[in-house]
Amino acid sequence: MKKDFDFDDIGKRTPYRTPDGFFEDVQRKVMEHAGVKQQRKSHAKLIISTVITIAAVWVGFLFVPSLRQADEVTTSSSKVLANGTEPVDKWIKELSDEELEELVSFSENDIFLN
Amino acid sequence: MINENKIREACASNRERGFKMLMDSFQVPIYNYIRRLVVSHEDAEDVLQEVFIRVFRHIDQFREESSLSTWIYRIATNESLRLLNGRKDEGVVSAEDVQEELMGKLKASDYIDYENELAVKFQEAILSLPEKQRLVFNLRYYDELEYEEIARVLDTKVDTLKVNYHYAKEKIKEYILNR
Repeated sequence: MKKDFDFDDIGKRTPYRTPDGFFEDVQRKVMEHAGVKQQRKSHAKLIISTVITIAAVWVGFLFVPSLRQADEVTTSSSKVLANGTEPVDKWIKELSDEELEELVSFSENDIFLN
Repeated sequence: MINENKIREACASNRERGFKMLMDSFQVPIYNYIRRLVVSHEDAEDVLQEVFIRVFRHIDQFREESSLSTWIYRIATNESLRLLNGRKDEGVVSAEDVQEELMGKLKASDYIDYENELAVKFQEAILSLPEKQRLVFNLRYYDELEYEEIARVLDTKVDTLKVNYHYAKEKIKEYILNR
């Protein structure tokens, strides 16, 4: 006599298997396909922010050293001027009143200064 | 238990977030249902993607008279049958050819655990059923849908479904014991 088959022996087991990570992968594919616009938008945002960041870094890289140089140039020329005026002042102090009047009249008539 | 109201609310407030929630809840049972119908993993993957893309496109038009689950099972059934019967509709192959092809896939496909002989034989028995009985058996036995829900999925009367399910079980028993 044949034994009766009991469905509980097998239950809901099936021999079907899926590759690892299949459901995450299929969900990503469906979301990409279904939400194309949203994906593109987010890609565009990502690209724009990356470009802005790179540009900012380049601007910083290019201009900060030159600003430093400019600062250094300004400072050094100011020093030169400051140092350069000291002997002139001393020389003016040593001039007599007649010599000063002569210098002023000379400077008033100088076509290159006026 | 899938909370369909939560999914509906999420879809109404943020379509993408709601849809992700829907996929998280339904993709495994729907894949398993499709896989039992089409057998090969590759075909099941294609059909699954098509089902959820259709769901995403039409979710705004979805009426609340039927449940979300019934609606998705209906789309999954239609897409699976479209794949299986595509060539049959063109008159190229018969229903018997489709059945034979599925049996062939069950015997030689990737992602099938052949060491589980009883499970393989059980699937063979299911594949030997006529299409309608196969659908009813899968939805009732594995997915535990109520007969009223299956009636909405398959557009069939409850009484007819009950008879189909009864015959399906008898045929499966016979197949397992005699082959």
